[in-house]
Amino acid sequence: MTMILVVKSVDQHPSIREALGSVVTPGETVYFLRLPTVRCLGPLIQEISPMVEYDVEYTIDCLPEGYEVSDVVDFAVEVGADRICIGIFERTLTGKARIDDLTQSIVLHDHVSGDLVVGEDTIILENLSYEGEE
Amino acid sequence: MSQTDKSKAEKRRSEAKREQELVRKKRRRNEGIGWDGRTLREQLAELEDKTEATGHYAGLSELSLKTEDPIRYEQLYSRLRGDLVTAREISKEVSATPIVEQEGELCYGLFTPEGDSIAVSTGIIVHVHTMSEAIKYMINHDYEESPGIEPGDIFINNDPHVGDVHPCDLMTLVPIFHEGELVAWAGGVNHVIDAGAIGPGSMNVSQASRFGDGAYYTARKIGEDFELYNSWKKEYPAKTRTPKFLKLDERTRITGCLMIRDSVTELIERTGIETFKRLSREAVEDGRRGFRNRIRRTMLPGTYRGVSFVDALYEGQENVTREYANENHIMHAPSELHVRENGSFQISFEGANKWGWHPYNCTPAAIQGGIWVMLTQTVIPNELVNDGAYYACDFHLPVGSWANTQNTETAHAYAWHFLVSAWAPLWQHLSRGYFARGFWEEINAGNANTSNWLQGGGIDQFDKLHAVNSFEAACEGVGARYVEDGEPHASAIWNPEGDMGDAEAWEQVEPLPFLGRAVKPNTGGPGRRAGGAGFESMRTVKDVSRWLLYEMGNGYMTSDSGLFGGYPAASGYILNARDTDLEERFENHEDYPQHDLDPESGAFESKIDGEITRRPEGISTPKQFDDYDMYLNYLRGGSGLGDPLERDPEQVVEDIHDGYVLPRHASDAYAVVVERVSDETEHNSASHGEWEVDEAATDRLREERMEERAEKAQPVSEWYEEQRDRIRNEENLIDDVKKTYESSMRMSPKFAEFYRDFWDLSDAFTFDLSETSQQSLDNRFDSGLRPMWDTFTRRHRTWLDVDDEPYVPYTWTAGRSLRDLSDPSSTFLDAERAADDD
Repeated sequence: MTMILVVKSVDQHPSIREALGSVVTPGETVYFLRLPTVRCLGPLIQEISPMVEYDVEYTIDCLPEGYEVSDVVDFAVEVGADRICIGIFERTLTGKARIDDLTQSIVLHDHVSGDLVVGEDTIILENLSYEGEE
Repeated sequence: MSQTDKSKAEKRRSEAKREQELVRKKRRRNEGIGWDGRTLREQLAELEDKTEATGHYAGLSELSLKTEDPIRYEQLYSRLRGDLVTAREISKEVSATPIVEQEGELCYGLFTPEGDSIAVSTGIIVHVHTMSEAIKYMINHDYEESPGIEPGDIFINNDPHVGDVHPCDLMTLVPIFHEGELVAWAGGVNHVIDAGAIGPGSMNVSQASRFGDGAYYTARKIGEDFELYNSWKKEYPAKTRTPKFLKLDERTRITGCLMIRDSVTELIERTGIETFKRLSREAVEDGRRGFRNRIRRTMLPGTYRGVSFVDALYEGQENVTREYANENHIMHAPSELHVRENGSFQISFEGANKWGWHPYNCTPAAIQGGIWVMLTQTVIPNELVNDGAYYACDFHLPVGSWANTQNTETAHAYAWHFLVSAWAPLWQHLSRGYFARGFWEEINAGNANTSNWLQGGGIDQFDKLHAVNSFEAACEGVGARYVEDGEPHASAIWNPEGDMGDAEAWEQVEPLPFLGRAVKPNTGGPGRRAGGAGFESMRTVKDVSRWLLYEMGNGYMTSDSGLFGGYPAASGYILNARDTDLEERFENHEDYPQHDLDPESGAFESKIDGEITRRPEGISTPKQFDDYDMYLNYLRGGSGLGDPLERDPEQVVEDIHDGYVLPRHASDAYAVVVERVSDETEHNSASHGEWEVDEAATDRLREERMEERAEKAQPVSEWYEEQRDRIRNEENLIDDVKKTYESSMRMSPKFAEFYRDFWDLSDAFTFDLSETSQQSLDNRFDSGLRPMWDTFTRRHRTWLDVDDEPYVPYTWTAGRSLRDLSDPSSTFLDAERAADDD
């Protein structure tokens, strides 16, 4: 299994911990994809220690300023991602997760489909399939 | 600059410009300068995570480059290492100080982007790891963002809290880029002649805090496009008494770093970047495995324990910068070496006492670097010295102790005084392991604190402000080995290539003409194998004004205890004379002192009139010397091994002829009776004439000595009772000793528990200290912590006081014994070599 963790903020520890702790299985490959709002994941990796604590192989990639949602999808296709995880940064007064533009754009993207699962701190689009796939 | 050099410099600059463009393009894509677009901090975090998770450096479970083509691997590594050595040998000629040019106090390293040393040159390889820490500091404090790390940049560091032993070791760091990626760092360090401290010289002794240590340059960018900033060029020369020397030292380091950069660039051109990256990773993992293999082959698992002390006496000293610093200190270093069944290796200083208002405090980088020097001369005596060994070891350095102050107020100018003394038992731990495994040639009685540092400064013979730091100390007696005597006046353990330097070279830069230079008898520790003798130089002072000098070494105490019944080396003392009649003696062609070979003979005092200071201490604060005053630079000897009564009497006679032993000492220390059979023979030593053993008298004396020993001997239980009463009743215990133990008990509840249990004291036992000592401890314990690092690395957890610190198998408890080891018959069994998946 392969998972993309989209990182919008260096303070995204809870959502990453939730994804690594409850969704990922040991030995899985994880792609940390940082958005232009995040310059460096060093402090976050130091805090979480994904390999020591969650036994996952991982790489770190980035998206440039002015990226488009299709770049995220292209990346997912390129690495054959089975899941995309995005942090929940805001909830409504009634406690519902507010889906931000990026999440919405990925969910609604023509070339990708999957099951939407909403966790405590993370939204996961899983069982991904891509346009043209069987 | 020659035409060739000019075109090389131009080529380098144009390459840097091109690389800078690539780096800036990557930055616009939100990529970092690390590999595959990572930032450096991400790369370091990932590396540490992988290393800890897998137990292999960077997760390398297989050394494919080495395995698939071992000859090529060795060729590539040797080429890199050879180029580092070449860089050192060539660049050291740029320097003008005998410290570098004569003594070789210079070292280079090639580091991974994350700051792990891949290979190091010869020289002061203490910095195999200090530069590493400085690079990691820059990474973890986001230097990539600000001030930026770009091709052509030049950085400097001398801050011990960041990555150094003491501030007089200045390091230059140059990043090496390839196609917009940082692929390595070149680094060079040398010991400078004056650090701009409150007193002249590189390691002043009179300051209470770092504010008297001199200039600290904390991992600073000082240039770009391979050019130094004007702001830097105008700043540092004003912060030292010896600007011209420091300028040439800096050119030395930059020359070496650029040579290393060129070498790496050429290697990448020839072999490709992927091969270089692979080589750099595999070399570190290979170093880690090599260290473990050697430990498994030569040691037995278990816990090795020892202790060392050294004095630093300031009570009554003049010119100490703060009144509260006017007190005596004794360093207490309980040391444990834990060799685990998997060959991993932990050094623990649990029980070390509190840091003090003196410049002998250490930072983790200092301790780790210092211990590397020692390990590279016993565990890894080959060219495969790199940070792989760092990953094979861990250090337990109690936070707040002298070994790890974590307080940026503390002074560190001569951290060596404590750290060299503290590693004395480590030699003995290793030697006991070697003995148990039959590696007798590796056994060494120890090499500890053998220096005196002749330092000072003022207006010199050229009417210029100047400072001196004699590195004759790079040539001292070394510890006895199991199979041979220690080498006399040979080297210092902190500088494996040591040399005393030519007297003429020193006289060019020091207004201190030599009156004599000779082997110093009775300084090597007696033993079946004798410790190497030290030597001495008698210096006078000429053509100076407002000139200061001072001493720095051990005094009453020897930090090396000797091994297997051998005796420690001789302790230190100070001898100088001021307001002398030396000038008149020269004019009248009268005799004058050239030596102090037998301090008890009165010979020195009989040949000079003046204000003579002779005292059994090792440290003095700067005091004024005028023309024709005199200063003895006494470099100590090494410790002995085995019972001196087992030494072949004929060897003792050879010692007399060689000047290592005085005839009366032959009887005192070795129970060998000698007689002078001829007055004619002249030896180049303290004793003239031909000497022979009186065999019958020697046999009788040795028998008598054995009987005396038997009479003096007492059961340990009796001795224990006496000592316990002494401690309980605090009889015959000076305040300095009580303060030392009280400090250790306050520092470490574990040590306090052990101490009280061992001596059967009440749980509430504390020493009754004088008001001054009590106040001194309160004052220091109340100072708290002022750490330099905001973000520590994962490896720092081996010494940080954090909840998830790796388990320290603390054995300083009364109830623990060998039986508590995980396997009572602990051996490495048949696992002689670490496997690939080790």
